[in-house]
Amino acid sequence: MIHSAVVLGAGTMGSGIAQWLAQAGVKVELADANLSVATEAHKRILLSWKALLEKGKFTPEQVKTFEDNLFPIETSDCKKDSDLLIEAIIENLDVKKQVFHELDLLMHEKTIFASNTSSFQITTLASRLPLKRQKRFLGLHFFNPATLMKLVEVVRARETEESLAKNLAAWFKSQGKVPALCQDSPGFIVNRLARNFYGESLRLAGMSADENRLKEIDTIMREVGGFKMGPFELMDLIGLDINYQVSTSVWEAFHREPRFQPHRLQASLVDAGLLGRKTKQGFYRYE
Amino acid sequence: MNKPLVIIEGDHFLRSKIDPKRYTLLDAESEDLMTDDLVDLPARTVVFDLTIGSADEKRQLLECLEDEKALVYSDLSTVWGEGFFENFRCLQGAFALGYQSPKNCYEFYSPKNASVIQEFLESAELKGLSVSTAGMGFHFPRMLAQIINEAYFALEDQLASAEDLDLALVHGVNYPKGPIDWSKGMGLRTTIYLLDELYSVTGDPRYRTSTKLRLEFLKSNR
Repeated sequence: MIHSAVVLGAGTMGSGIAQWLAQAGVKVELADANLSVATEAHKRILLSWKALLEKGKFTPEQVKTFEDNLFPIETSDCKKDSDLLIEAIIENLDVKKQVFHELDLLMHEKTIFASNTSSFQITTLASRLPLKRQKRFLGLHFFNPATLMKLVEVVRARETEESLAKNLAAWFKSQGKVPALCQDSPGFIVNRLARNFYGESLRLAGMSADENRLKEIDTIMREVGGFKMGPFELMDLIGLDINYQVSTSVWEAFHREPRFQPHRLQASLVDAGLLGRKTKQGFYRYE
Repeated sequence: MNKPLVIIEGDHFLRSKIDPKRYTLLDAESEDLMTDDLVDLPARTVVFDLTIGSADEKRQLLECLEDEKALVYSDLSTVWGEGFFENFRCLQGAFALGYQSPKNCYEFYSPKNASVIQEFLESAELKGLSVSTAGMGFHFPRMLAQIINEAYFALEDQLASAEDLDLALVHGVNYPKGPIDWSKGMGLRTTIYLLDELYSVTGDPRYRTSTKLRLEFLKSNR
């Protein structure tokens, strides 16, 4: 179904998606408004394949095929009749809408348009485009690292053709991904259902942020719940600012539904610049 | 010394693990349970209460055991444990067996008699983890109840199929089980009882139970 693709945005997510597509046998253009960004991302992917070759994860023939499948380009030079375009640029609604508007004028009408956004409704992103394009517009939400995490949320927007979402989900499944079909709703599945893993743990901890108490909750969720990480160590890894931003965005999108209300402790740590591992202090201290 | 008494429901996952040579088993469904005869227990009999109930049902049972001057270790995974410890002097400890642990490890709280619970759990081939408070539904039950509740709200909203909700959490954020699968494995009533208790004690609307969850409970009756 998918033989060629353009991945727009050569950041962490865009690079990961492009790498996975190339490994899945798709001819991929990794596109960025700034060619040097795409070229640098391309180099990093080549190094990653080299490392995986040395570890014996891939054969030299496989790596050669992957390399032949991936091309860094400037966005305006992208192939206009690709089967699929996945947008993974900055999470800014106006910028995304403008980019889709411009690409709609450039790209062939058969090209499927997709966004990897986790913050915006797909219907909103597609709203300015002609109805014909809206029918071939959907959300494809990958998880980081996209080469390893199997899930892809396949999000049907208001006008998305049902058969398109189903066929694309079937294609992802045939390539080893685990697609989950869902409606276009704030946070889709994961960012909505996982909110309580953080929100309820914060309510259990209260405002004290006592490290022993946080450690106890983390230990319980690992040892009793069987989760790979406890909520506080996970929030420190993700970044408290990012986690808080997602929580706030879901809460606002649900018209401040109390189930999603962010917690004051998290807000106060973000305000103080204690963002987790990246600032060496969040819920825990890191030397 | 008389054997400890274990009050347990017929379909409890530990039923087959309780050694009748070490413990006297009493069916939670037994008509004797709430009568004066039951519990013609010698004073200071150790009782392990493994029943899962609403706050009212649990209160009723503990009142009865308090009258018998029993030493009670109770499953408080669906109720406000801290409040129960304030109200019932017979309570020596509590545990949270109502929410299935993928690692066979369960929270317990017993500041003075931890070894009694630890020994009981080990005899049933379970691991115990001592925690600082029984809180309200301990920790893991409360977190899982909220995750499950949101999954049923998502079903109510027709966000995705139950299968896709489960797949998303298992493969997107490495959850050990999907929330719908988890809820059905342990029975929906545990989640409803705990959410009702959280809502009743805190008055916080974040603990409002999904209608879909209640409906599925009525259908499954467990």
